[in-house]
Amino acid sequence: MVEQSRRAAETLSRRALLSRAGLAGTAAAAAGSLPAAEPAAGADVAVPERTLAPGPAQLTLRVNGRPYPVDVEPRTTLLDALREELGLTGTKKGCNQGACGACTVLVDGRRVNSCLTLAVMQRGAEITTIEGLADGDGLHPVQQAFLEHDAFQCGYCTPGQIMSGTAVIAEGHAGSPEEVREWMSGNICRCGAYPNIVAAVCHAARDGRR
Amino acid sequence: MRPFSYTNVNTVRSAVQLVSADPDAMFIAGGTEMVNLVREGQLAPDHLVDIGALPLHLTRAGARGLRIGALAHEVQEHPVVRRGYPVLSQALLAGASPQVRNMFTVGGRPQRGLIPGSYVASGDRTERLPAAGRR
Repeated sequence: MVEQSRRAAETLSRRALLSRAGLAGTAAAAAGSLPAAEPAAGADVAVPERTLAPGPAQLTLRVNGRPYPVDVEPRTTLLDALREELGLTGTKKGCNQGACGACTVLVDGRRVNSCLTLAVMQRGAEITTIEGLADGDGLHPVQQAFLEHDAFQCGYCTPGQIMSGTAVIAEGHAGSPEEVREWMSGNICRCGAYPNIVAAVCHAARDGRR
Repeated sequence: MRPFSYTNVNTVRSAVQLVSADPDAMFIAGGTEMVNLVREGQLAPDHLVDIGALPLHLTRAGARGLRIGALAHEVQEHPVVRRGYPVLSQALLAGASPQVRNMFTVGGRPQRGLIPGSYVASGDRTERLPAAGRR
């Protein structure tokens, strides 16, 4: 836990440094510094009934395998809780209405738009963000494939693309480029890096089958 | 987003009681419609009652047709739906992204106008819990 806390602090300080240098944004996309997520847990355990007043309340979110106490209001989206409360800014805010996929995270192993759910609704869930994919300095195969295939230009959509790519492979929907295009349709790339994104996901899927 | 209070419920009884007792309370389940509508100010509930944990998610086929729980997920993947109700399955698949499909419930987003035509085409009939009132 101490090690994890130290790593989280490093992530925050890097963010602060980048902000001061005017470079905030895309650097965290391809690599993360938190440990890999544990298998989804607790999905069927009922969260006790609880009423929360409109102001801030303390609750616990499980993110990338560890519990985080957070102060959030009922209206706080999971996306805002991750970015503003936990400093996990790898998850991006694009359209903020569920259309672009930049905010894609896994909830109990299923990909969702974190801008369309409230943080309070995810108590008891296991949340995985882009920061939770890498194993220390070892990139997740989908992250590695994105690097090898140059599957981004500006990089803003990349965390969401990578999270969705891991899910597409886990769902068994990466059998062909056509299938990947269909099942990645919830992730928009304004730079138009789609051919390389599809190639990266297909590559990672093939490697996974070997 | 406008502030509101929030309760998560684990029984249908609690859900119906809370929303019946408060004209400014509304249900939230998957969240894919409600979060956007509240964020944009099109709805302004003072209280949201989270019914996502209620046991209303079963999909099953019987002699009188297909019964889909209001909180059913992934109806489009259900073997009975894929085989016997392909229009419904394809409409649900085409109607939203995989991420949104993983969150939305059949009782929420699709009924709110996303793909009503496919419900009609499949001979859909919607039942509501007594006294549940509006969604």
